[in-house]
Amino acid sequence: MPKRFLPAALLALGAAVALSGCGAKSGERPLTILISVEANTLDPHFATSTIEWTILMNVLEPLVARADDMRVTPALAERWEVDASRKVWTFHLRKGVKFTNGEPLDARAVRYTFERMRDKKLRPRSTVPGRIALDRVEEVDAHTVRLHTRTPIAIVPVWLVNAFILPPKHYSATPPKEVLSQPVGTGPYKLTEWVKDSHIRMEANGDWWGGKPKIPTVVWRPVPETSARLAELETGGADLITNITGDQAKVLDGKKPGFQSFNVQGGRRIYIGIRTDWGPFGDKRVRQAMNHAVNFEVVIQKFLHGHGARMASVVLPPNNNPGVSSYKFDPAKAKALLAEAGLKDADGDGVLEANGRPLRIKMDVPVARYLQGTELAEAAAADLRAVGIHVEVQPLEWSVFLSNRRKKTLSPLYLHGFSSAFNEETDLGVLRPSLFANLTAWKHPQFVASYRDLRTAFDAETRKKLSYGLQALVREEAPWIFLCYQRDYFAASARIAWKPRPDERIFIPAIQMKEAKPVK
Amino acid sequence: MVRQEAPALPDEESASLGPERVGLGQSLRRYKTALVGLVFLSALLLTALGAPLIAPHDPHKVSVADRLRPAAGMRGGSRANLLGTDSLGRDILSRLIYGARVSILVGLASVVISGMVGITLGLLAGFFGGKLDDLIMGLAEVQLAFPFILLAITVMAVLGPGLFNVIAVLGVSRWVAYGRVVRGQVLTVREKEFVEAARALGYPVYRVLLFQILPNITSPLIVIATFAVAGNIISESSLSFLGLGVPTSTVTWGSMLSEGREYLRVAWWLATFPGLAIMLTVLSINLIGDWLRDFFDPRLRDLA
Repeated sequence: MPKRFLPAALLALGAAVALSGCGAKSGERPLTILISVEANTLDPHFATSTIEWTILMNVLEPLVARADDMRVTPALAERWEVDASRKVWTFHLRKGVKFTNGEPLDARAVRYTFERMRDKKLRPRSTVPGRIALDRVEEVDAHTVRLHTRTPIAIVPVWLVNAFILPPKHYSATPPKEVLSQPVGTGPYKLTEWVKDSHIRMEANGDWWGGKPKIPTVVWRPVPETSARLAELETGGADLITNITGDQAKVLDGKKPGFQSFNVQGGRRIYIGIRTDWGPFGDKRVRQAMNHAVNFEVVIQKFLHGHGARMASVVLPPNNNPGVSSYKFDPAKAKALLAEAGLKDADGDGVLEANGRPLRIKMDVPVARYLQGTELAEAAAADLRAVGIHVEVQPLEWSVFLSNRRKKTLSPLYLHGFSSAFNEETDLGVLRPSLFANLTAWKHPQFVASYRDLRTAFDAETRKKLSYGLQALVREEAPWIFLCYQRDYFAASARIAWKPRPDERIFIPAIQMKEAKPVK
Repeated sequence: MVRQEAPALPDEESASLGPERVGLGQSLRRYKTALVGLVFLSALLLTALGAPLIAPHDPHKVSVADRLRPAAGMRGGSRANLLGTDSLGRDILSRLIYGARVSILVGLASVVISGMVGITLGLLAGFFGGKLDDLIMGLAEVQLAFPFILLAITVMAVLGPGLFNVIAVLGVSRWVAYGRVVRGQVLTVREKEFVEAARALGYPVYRVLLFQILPNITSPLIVIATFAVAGNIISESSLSFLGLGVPTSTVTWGSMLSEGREYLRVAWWLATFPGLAIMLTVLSINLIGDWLRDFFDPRLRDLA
């Protein structure tokens, strides 16, 4: 059996090499992007994962989009305003826009889209109507539409970023099982082919209102193994690959001319949650001490290769309070704070005691969920042990971690990450005591009150003042050991120029194709 | 193989060798490869026993500043970490030395368990025959029909990771090899005169089984056990590689291999050294096993 198998394997290998070689030489290859996971659905009202949103944002468009700097920007709505009651939002649609199947973009399409989002029979998973407390959608005229909300919600435009507008005829005439693989929108690209577990092909939409896209064809392919993605990039089979580690990016930059790596500060906030309802962790000084104990400078140098900085509080740029600075590595100060809180090492074994019981605890970390999550946890645990808190890292399968999170049985310390909608209110919201995923049990009256005010504040200055105050409070109270914003790494061939976005999405019109250079 | 000469006394049986046989030491000198294996294995055993004295560093000591340092002699390497450091700056040599303890412990302990289970069941099945034989051999068929790794994964997923769970799973699921061989051997031995003599003398059954029959069927068992140690070391590594073996707080070669896999393109030494350790250990044991097999059954040697 092995003897018969070997020639076949060699033949297959040879064929693969030959094929990829051909692809690299012809120069006609479409822009090829390798992604780490496959999309499950391309129906925007059932989409949940980043890769699904990434594919969709190139085909469909919302009223309001997130620009490259993560601020909200006009898309299908040219402008919008909210009335004095703060519950009626008027959107003025872009004129002359057509869906790629010929249907016009008008108020009816917008109304259809929002009604489909909460269609009781279809049972979609879209959270938008709930987030904006949608009451009803009113067609004022063909190009003006009003969203009525039940309560004043200040950040309606932020929630609309994933509310892609759909052509009513196509989506009502096609059965749900078929429409999930045939998204039609107004976006820069048309989806022409989706072969599950193989590839997604897109062609440029020549009539796009933003101008005809320069790259005619784009192919997305799921390749789960990181090393396989890298190998395919190196052999000329791909132009852009996602989800690599900083270590791999560094090797690529150092060794391989003709390749480049990109990295960007992502939106996911990686932190170690402190369960303030556990023993001495109710004491603010102990939590501050743990923040001072962690040597994050060396983590930045060694894990992030000098990119980025330690997270100061919970809000991402551009909405962060620049006056709030991150905790500095200071083991002496950490020890002083712990002593002040009454924790002493009476028996001299190097582990502090609280009320006679040694501080031996576990730190839960989900396996393979966050980029180098286990390593970050181990590094932090080693620093905490150095100041007398004996922390042992306990890696858990993501499903076990989720189940323990739901049952609120995670260890006193747990490494976790919250993604971001790039808005101060949602960024701060991850610390509200009622959030199921927040196990810190941190209930500060000032936080609760100010956060409530922030939710109903429409005036930008007031919001900024409240948000800055809350950020400073969170830093001071330290319900987390603040770590970092997850760094997202990409690698690419030399023939593209691109600047990645912080929200892990890839918007094709932002990619430039360089002129093909003659091959030596 | 069954020895032809009738044993004088049970106690002397295991030591008695046929006149045509050469001594162990003499045979070993002829089998240079087995000698190499034996030397390697002895060195490994000593290393595992003396791990705290030999290991240059604490295997759990995290030092982020020194992470992914290559082996000494390579660019960026240092003599402080002879085989380099892993993704958290832990010393790979020290981790290998401590990992040897787990591999050897699992390999030997699980063989002892499966040997005891298999020998007991095999003796009973062969000696009594009939319904009991059918039952035990039926059980063996069922066990053989079940893919081992699937069984191990299922049991580990239910019991949770743990050193003793691994030993138990490997021990219990690998008894069939012993059971079947023992049964076959018993079938040939039980009609021999010395067994009949023992029974005629009124020895209780357990005494006949343990002191008359068992000593006469040990040679194939030694060979099976040797190869099983190697198999179990690999199985433990596989389970740890899948995250279902020993918890990560205990260093094992399998988990080192698993961690190193993610860094294969960046730092090859993370996966290479534990991989080499597993390979060399298993190779040594197999070489010894080959030699033992030939030693106990010279006819096979001639065939080869």
